[in-house]
Amino acid sequence: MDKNKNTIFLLCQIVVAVIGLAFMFFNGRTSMMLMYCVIMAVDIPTMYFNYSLCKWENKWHSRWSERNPCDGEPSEFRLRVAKIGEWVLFIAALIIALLPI
Amino acid sequence: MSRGEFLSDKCAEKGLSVSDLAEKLGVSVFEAERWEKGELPDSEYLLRLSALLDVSVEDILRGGESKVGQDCTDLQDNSADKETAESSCAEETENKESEKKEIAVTNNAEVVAIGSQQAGSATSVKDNTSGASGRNGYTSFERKFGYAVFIIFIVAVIVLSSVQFVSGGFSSELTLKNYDRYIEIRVTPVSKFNNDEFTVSIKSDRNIRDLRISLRVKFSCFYGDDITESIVISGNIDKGGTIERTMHISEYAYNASFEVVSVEGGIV
Repeated sequence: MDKNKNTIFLLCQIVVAVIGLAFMFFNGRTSMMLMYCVIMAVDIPTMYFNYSLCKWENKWHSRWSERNPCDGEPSEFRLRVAKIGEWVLFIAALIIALLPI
Repeated sequence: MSRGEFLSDKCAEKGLSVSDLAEKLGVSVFEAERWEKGELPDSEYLLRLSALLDVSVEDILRGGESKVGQDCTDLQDNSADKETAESSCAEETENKESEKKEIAVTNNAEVVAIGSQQAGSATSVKDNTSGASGRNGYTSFERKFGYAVFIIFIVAVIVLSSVQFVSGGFSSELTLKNYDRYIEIRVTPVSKFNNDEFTVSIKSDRNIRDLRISLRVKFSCFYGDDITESIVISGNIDKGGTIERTMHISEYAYNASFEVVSVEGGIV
């Protein structure tokens, strides 16, 4: 059930990103289109795979920087901070799409 | 049976490999292998492990000791030398008792904590056992927030599009890169002979608002050095319309070429 909800939400997110891109295109705001595409292409998968990426990052950090390796289980704080950053980036991209630049 | 063997057997019963187990509980394969070698799992994984393997936490802690007790009884029944069997059983039971005490001492706090959580969080444990990748995705709060953002954005897009449509449809900017797609520029002499007057004409196949184009025109003269003049043309051009400006130079020129310095304007 949760997986279905996640899939539907992900699709909505992609649709909104495409609407933003179309809006930029039809308004001739080509100068920011590349930046918008890059942000969305990075941010949407990052938001979805937040847990795995945090865990992977923790694992590699512990492997390279800590004396004892760990299984990389990220803390709730770490996950939330990452999510907040990703949402900020996503909303910033949407604002870029609307701005008359 | 040791704890490791017990976990291995239960995993085999469930058809789980070490890597599957590790993935489902969000630990490294190395960690899961340690458990199968007999190491006690951390308290945070005990509940998930018990839910995943359908065994009690107590069984995991004791390594399924009830079965060991059964084995011991069987051994006593079948043994020819009852005394030897009894002594070995007593020794094994003693070992298990000491191990149990050790577990009880080292994990007392953990078990108490787990026990207090167990009643209230049975559902959440089931959710957490869906594996490491199962924690990817979005929380319910995040989804609600996201839908609110989507709705606000779509409303903003609709409002801005409507405003633009009402005020003359979608437009785009005229730039140095794209101007030649929409406008045609010509510099032609006014008369056939003794050309000291040239006409700069700009023809457009689109409606262009607030056009401002800056040209540098180079005149090749008959008797002297070439002359370079700049001209700025501005205004609105309707579709199919033309703007013309005349340039007067001090000498007679036989040819004129131009370079576009800057272009501004909105294509409607």
